[in-house]
Amino acid sequence: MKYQNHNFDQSSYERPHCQYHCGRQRFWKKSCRQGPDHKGRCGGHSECNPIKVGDHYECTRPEHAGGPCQSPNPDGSCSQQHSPCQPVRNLKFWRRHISYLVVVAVIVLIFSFSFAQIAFFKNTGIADIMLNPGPLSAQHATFTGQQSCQNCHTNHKDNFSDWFMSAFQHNDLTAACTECHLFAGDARVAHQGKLSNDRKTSLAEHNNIECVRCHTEHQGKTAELTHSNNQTCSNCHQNSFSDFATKHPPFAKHYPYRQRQAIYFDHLKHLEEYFIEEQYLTIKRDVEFAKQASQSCSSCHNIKNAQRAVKPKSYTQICQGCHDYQIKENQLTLLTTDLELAELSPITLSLMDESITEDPDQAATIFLEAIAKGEMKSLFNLSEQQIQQLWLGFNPIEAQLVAKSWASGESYAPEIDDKEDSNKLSGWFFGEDSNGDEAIFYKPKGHADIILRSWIEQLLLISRNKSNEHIEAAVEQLMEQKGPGSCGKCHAAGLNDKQLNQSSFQFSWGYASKSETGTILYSHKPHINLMGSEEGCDNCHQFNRKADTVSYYKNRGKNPYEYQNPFSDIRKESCSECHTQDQIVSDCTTCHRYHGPSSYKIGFISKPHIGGN
Amino acid sequence: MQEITRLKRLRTNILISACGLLILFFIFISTIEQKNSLGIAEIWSGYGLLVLLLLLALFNIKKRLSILPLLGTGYGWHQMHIISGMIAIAIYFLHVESWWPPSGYERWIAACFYLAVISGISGLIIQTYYPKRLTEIEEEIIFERIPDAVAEVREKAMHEVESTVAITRSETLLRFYTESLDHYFRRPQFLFSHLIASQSADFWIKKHFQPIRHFCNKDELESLQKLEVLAKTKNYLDQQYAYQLIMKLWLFIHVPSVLALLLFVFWHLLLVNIYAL
Repeated sequence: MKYQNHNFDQSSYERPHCQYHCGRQRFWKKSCRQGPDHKGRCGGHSECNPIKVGDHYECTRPEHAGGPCQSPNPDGSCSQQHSPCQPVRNLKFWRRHISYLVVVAVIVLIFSFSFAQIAFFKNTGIADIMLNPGPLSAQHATFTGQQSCQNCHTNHKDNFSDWFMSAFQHNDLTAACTECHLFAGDARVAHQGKLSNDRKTSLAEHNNIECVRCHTEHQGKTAELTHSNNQTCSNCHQNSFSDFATKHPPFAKHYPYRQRQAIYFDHLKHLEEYFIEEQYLTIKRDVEFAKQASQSCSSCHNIKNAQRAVKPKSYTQICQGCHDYQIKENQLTLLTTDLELAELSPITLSLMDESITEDPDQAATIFLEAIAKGEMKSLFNLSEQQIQQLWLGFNPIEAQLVAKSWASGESYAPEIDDKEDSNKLSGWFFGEDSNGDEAIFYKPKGHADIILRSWIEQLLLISRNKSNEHIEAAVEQLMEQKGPGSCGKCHAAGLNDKQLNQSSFQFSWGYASKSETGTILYSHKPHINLMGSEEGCDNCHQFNRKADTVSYYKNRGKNPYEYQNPFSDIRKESCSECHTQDQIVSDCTTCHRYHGPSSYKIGFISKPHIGGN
Repeated sequence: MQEITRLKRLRTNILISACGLLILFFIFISTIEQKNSLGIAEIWSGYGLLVLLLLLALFNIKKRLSILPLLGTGYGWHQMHIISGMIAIAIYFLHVESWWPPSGYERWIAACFYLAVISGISGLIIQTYYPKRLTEIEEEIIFERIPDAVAEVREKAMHEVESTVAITRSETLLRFYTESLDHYFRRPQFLFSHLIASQSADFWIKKHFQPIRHFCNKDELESLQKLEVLAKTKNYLDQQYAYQLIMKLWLFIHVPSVLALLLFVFWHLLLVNIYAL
């Protein structure tokens, strides 16, 4: 069967571009020949539109519709009238209108939510669906509530025109990050300033890294903002890292012992001589502890709190047993006299005002007079608080008695009123000292004596800015093993730090931890847990018997660059025995972090967090 | 002549594919390069994707401006639309790096993109498969004329039944028509079966016409044969209707989803420039 005729006189002309078609088709009936017009009005109520020929009308019905009829109405209307239909829209119309509807819906959706957010809910997360590309990480979501988007996107609070125009300006998000985050250096500079040898980026790129390049926000509450992988590091480093054992460069020379110890402690001497040889294990020594310490590192090192450093235990736990008597034995002498001539010690002369010490003979007299009156302030160019610290517990009345006694050429023998004074082992003393000289001296009560420490610190502060024979002699005396409190015996290196960093001087009395400013992220704890606290240390830490550590300390640590650590450098092979692809994770971030120590500016300013990448 | 056309089309396909792959390679390398230098890797893939989306949208405009010969042939544009679409999928994943964004308006973009892609691929399959099926039917018919043709077949069938009943005075054929065929002839049937190339309609015709033969006299049998021919004709019309309808319907999803996608993409572009760049 032939479905349709295509000849012009046998079929009607289809107009698929018109948006209406005959309503009869809707009910699967035969459509009228004329079909609806472009306005959707039915054209099928008549079969043709008669035309006027001369004085009468003729039918125009085509052949394929039955041919012309005989009688159009006299008024020119078609005589074959039918009831009209309700034309219906075609598919093309609906497709176009659904498209328009979707476009309008999207525009309304975008603008209604955006307008609502900007106009009514600016500082909230309400209705931000069309502006917010995703929820913030848990860390940031907790404190952005009040200011919402404008915490980081400052242009969010602008009026509409400024807001729109900011699309054509640079958005400095790093500045927003550094509003809260505090780094050791410029946050934009890679590793906050450290230039790597295998860097493949230009200096301009190195100095202009945006935070958002590595930390992608709006990835949901569970997103790890600090997550990075080997590829991230390879972006800038030439050594494309895939395997620690084969791809990681060898560790640097002297790693990790480049930093000298603030406290002179000769591991080898202690372990191989002091702790075991009988000549050292005298009555003044803690024999039991020495025995333990010779066997185990954990006797002295606090492995329970091991992190990057395994800090030694406190002085009282590990040093006091053997060394406390040495501290108490060595006094700080301020003045000596043979009852004819009084002489101020170099440390006293160093701290006293230069106008007084120009004539040293006269200076002793002035000194005695002043301390007898309790007017120490006239002697020193120091603040009242500093003078109070220096002379804490000093008795000027007794000083008067001393001065009188010496002036009359007699030794001073203090009257002992009670038992307490006779048993006095530390504090200010007048009279005969341990060398048999008449003197004013101070005996420290033990380790970290506050008065002795004040005298030493003041001396060292002065020695940084001034230099004369008194100061040099005083410092020399201080650093001697038998110097005041024997401080110099162990602390000489730490207290001679002036060559290390002139701008930020600090007294290194205590144990100096490894600097946390670097990119190395290492913790002893898991390694100790894995390898054991007793024998585990030897796996990495081996003595270097060739190292001349003693010379550095004998030279009182004056030149830090002479320092040779008694331990051998740790080599990469020590780590790669376990850190291989098949065993323990060995990604860049296992041992390195991008940022140095970082902290926060807002609210929680004081606490640095160590885990930053 | 056909051989020349085939060669021309092959050349067009190779040229467009080569250009497309070159663009994809360039964007891929640029993105990796940006990533390797901690640059904004999304810049190249983002703007590349935008240009591709606009190019894809231009296809619709070109179809309306077929009078302009300088813009290339319709076939070339169609092939470019297909290849650009494929490349856009690759660049989209290069840009987004995830199957589904965590939330926010980017999910709307993703939803529109997936809808456009799925409808586009479906459309490609439809436009490739069903025209071939159409040519397998003995005669083609314009979609808009199918209702008329169905009505004509129905009228013929009814006329056949009426004339036979008038001659034979038997109700067998009349009852058969009213109880079994009337519904079938009333409108297109078995549309889904036709789309999946099932033979359900043929089977239905055989199943209904076979048993009734035993109850027909000679005149009725003749009429029954004519009715069966008309039923098969109607079946062909149904096939035509099903194929042509599906070839039009996929655009009901593709075009609106693409328009929505473009709007969301422009919004995304604006927001990214305001808040991130």
